[in-house]
Amino acid sequence: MKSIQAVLIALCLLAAILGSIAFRSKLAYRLLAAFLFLSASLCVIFPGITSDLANALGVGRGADLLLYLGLLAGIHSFLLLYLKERRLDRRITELTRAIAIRDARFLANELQLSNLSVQTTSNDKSLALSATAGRQ
Amino acid sequence: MPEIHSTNTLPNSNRDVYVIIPAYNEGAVLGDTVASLIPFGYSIVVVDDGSAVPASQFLLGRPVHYLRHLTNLGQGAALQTGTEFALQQNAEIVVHFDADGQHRPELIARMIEPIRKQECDVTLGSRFLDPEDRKLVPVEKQMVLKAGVLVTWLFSRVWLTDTHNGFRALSRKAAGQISITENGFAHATEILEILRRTGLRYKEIPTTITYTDYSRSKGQSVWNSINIVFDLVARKVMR
Repeated sequence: MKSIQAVLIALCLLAAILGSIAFRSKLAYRLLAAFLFLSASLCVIFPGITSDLANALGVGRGADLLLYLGLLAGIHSFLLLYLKERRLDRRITELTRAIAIRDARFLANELQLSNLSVQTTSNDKSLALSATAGRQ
Repeated sequence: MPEIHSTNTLPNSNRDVYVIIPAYNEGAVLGDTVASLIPFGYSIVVVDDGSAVPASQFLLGRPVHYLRHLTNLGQGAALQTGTEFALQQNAEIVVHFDADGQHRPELIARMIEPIRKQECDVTLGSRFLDPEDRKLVPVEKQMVLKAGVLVTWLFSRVWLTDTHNGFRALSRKAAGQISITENGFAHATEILEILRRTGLRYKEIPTTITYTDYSRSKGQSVWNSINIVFDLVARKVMR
């Protein structure tokens, strides 16, 4: 076995493990990851397989077939991520909404901060004045 | 603060009308808009959509309900939050109203009248029913809005004279059925889609829009309308 083959098989194994972790709750995807790992390993050990398969499907070279399949897989994972993001977005919206409604305030009884600070400063001043008056 | 006293002496007949004002970084204009609404005695709900400076500081002491999103979600989300709150408060009619002062408070009466009379469940404001109102709309804006009418028809099969007007009134029943999931500006089309699906009765009402420099600067640009189209396509494809 050439050393590149060992490296590639190790990479395939890593990808399969990562895939299984990512799809922890979905058996179908874990089986798919295992299947992909096995077929990828086969292709690495017997490099002729991809070319034969490509020719059978009318694609020029084995590497081209892999490119196309990889592209499909890329689009698929993009869509999965997009849908996941939408679900996440919806959850954040629900959470934010629930907090907003729970913490609703009626502002009529809340004093304007500027008025408040004016009052306190004037109080402080009168206090200070009476204090100085007392001292005199 | 004279406003507080004046609302206490007003008849309560308008209390069950909840005016929802979504606000995102509106600043002092929001205070003006709210102040102009207070004399009518409606219940006012301001939904602060995660403004950098909390909008409450322009509203302290005023008789308004204040809800704040902890993070910016979009106008559609803010309207939905306000609507849900209003329904919890036993609102009979929910009105969607812009924060930037382009809608006229005195026209709310015109919007809610057909709903009170049970002639329809939803009223939608239109700038194009009355030729006088139409004249106030800048020409380039008219073109964008007319394109919006077409796009809206394509996606919701509802033909209106004006879309993305933002001024609308919903009966309690309609507000309960219309649940906005489009957080951004595509909610306007989403609402129409729901109208068609649920068979709620709707009617367009002539409304005047006041274009100020401020509302123009905040308003939706041509580019943003292209954005809305993308949102709508995504919505159709990614159910």
